[in-house]
Amino acid sequence: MSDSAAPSLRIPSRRGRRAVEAALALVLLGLLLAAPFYVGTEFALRIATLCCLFGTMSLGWNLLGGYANQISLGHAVFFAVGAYTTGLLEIDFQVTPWLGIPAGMALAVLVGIGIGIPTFRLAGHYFALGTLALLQIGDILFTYYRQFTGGTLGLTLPIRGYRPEMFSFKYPIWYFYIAAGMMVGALLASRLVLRSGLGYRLRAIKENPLAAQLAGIDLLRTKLTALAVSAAVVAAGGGFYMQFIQFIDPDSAFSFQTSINMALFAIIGGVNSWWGPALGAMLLVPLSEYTSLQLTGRLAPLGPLAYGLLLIVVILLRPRGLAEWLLRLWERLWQSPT
Amino acid sequence: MSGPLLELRSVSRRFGGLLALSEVSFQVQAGELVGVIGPNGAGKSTLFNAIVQLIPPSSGQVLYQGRDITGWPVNRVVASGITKTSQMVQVFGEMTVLENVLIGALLHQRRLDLARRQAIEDLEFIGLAPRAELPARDLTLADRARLELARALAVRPRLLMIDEVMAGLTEAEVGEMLDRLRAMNRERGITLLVIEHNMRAVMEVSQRVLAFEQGRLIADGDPSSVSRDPQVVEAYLGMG
Repeated sequence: MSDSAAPSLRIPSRRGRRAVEAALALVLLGLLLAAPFYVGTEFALRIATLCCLFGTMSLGWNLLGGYANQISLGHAVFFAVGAYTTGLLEIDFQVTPWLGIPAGMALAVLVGIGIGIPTFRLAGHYFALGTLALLQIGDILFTYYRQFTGGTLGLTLPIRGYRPEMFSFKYPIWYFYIAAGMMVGALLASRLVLRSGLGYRLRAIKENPLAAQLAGIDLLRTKLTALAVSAAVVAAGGGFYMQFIQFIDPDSAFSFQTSINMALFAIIGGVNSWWGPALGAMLLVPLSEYTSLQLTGRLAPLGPLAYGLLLIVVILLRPRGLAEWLLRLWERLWQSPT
Repeated sequence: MSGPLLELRSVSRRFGGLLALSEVSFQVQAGELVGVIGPNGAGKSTLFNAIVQLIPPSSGQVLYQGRDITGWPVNRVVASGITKTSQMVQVFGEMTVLENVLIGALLHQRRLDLARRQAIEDLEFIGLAPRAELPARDLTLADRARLELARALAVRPRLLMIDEVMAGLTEAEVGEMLDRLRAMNRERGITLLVIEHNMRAVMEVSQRVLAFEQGRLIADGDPSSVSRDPQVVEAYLGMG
């Protein structure tokens, strides 16, 4: 075989590769939707539901934190807005969460724009610190105005039987499917944004804000747009959480842990791909749940320790995230001669 | 519009105790190709940054098409038709060459497919089309400078300021670049301000030359008279 002929054999047709990728996506989607039938226990199904919930929120966080590298540590605020809006609308006004969740998303967009205009003036690390302060502010406000929020006692949803129209289901499998649907929606949004003009602008801001300005990009407006979408996605997660757990208080709503987890899953999964954050949540949520389940009593502190060590190892080995690594392997697979 | 495309009225820029631009005033008419010369530290790059409002003037006004644009956000200046390339080349390193130019094209063309087509044309014009799919960080410095020029063209400016795009080019490549500058100026009607250390190139291509020294505009005229200007000769020979 001549040298000139060899490479052409290696290069697959674009359409062939697209078809394989689409088939792979369908298989993964099938695996996700079939989860209730192979995870076994109700506890495992609950973890699968949490995976989808955190996958959704991490994908939402990534639109701004990952694509544009605007690291927000205050995204739990949008989670809180989503959770409290659905909770309060249901408790005080008997509004169905099916409307409460979209209302929470809309409110989160407004809150996001209100927060973004001052905080985006802060550059780099100061932006992260500024957003971190939001958690404190939210916690204090929601604790203090207890006539609206229930204060430190939090909100508990009333028990009113299994009424699907009020987002109350008899079987946990329904919660799982709703969370899975939410995550699929977040994945589609994430993909759409990445491949749109907005996605290119966000990446430009991440790589070189100076060059982005010289290309005519309005930095503030672009970041605000991403923050609005990001806030809405995270608020949807918060609304779902309220219905799933049926309880929220300022400590769990404005939790640093929630904020960090969104960022962490995205960073481990891969911030530059549209599906990386979901991958991160799929791996890390079960891991943290099981390590804290298996190691109890005097061994309990080992759970978080093992989890922390594992994170360090992954970050050292794959600093650009698992998604990028997998993509490169995939790329190599198509280039190597068969 | 009959007035000048660009007008500076006693523009100064101070950095602490240093006066990087001192009472600079000049006009540029639409369609001109103007060379900007001067020794290192004369304030040439600061001039471009002050016009595009990356480093807004400390005092004085920048007028574009008769409107005072002093203090405008950079992106608004760019959207209105002025952009520049940078001495310290600014590209998006992790993106492909094509994506770099696409981002410029997206300013006035919101449809991705059309913006991509336009970006390919701009890359062909600038001679980088064969490298379209490479990450920008893999280019040589000279190619990155050309890439920045392609991106600047993609935003469809009326006034384009080019800060040293010839550095690191071979003699033949300088010739090609000069042809491109002329083509941009004549065929595309873009008004050009060009900072260049390659004196032969700048004198050959420019219709008019502005000479700077220590933040002051010391000569403004056609290339041959500026090169004979005693102050310019002093500034250059005094350095050597």
